[in-house]
Amino acid sequence: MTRTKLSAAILISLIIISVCSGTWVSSRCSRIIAHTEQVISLMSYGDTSAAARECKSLALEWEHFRHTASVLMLNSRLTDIDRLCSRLEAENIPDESELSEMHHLLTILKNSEIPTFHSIF
Amino acid sequence: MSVILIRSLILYMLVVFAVRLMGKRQLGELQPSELVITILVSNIATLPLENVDIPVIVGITPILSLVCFEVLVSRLCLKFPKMRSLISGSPKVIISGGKLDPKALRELRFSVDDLMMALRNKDVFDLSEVQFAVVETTGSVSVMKKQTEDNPTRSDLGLSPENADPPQVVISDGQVSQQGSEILKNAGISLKKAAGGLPPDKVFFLAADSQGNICLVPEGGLHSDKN
Repeated sequence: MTRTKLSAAILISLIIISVCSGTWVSSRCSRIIAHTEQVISLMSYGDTSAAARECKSLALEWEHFRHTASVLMLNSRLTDIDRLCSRLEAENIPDESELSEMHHLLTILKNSEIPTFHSIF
Repeated sequence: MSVILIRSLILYMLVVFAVRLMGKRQLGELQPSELVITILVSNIATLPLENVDIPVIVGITPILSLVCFEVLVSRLCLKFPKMRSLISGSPKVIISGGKLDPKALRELRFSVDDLMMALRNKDVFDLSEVQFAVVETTGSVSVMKKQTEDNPTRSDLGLSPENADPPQVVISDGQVSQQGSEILKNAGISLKKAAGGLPPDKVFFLAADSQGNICLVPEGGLHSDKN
């Protein structure tokens, strides 16, 4: 009976942890996506210096997220965004194709943590 | 390198915990679901060890969840016999009334050689000695010999049975065990007397049963039995 109770407790803890981590990843990704969209809109107005500044804070935000996310998800899923982020941070004028690629990869990362038919199967 | 070492330690502890959680049943013969879980757990545990890019939690989560599912399912199987037969199958009679059932053998995909091997493992070398045989859900064969071929029991021979539990270890390598001391206490023998006057650290092995039978091996190694 102790084993059954212990197993039930572990399973419940795993469910809670997975829901919390999924929600955390999703919300942090949404914030970074919003940041990316802001950089894209600044670029469309031609404000490149503000866009570059925003890219630096975007990179900082990503770095904070990545630090904890590397404990929860496969590193291969983070390295592509990592590479793009460091490139955007280094550029004086952010590249629009890189920004949209980053937006796309972040959206995939966000959706992968939400259990849907496609993410499960 | 140190990362792999620490990961190995974490996963070792996790797998030991997982096997302990599955219980003693796991250490004996495996049910089909237990076999599947054992194979899966051993495979999953190697993934974060081989590849440091895979977080340990990616290995921990499926191992723990699979083992917990197994424990809960086995609990449910205990409560619902239909579920038990669905998951573990049911025992199949292959010899009944001393007669072999070839249809049951074919259904189990058991050849006559397999059957003879299983019978030999049970110290039965002649099929005609078997009264009843069942293939258990674990795949092992349980055999009941014909009464004419079976060994006589104490009651058959009219001998009075000895209702004594097997001996318990009282001192092992100088260390006194609590359980063994209680056996001695119940038998009304002091530890000093049982050890032949030797202090516990001079005793290599001492065992006693509830009837007061003692087996003493001093540190020097000379074996002695006394009642």
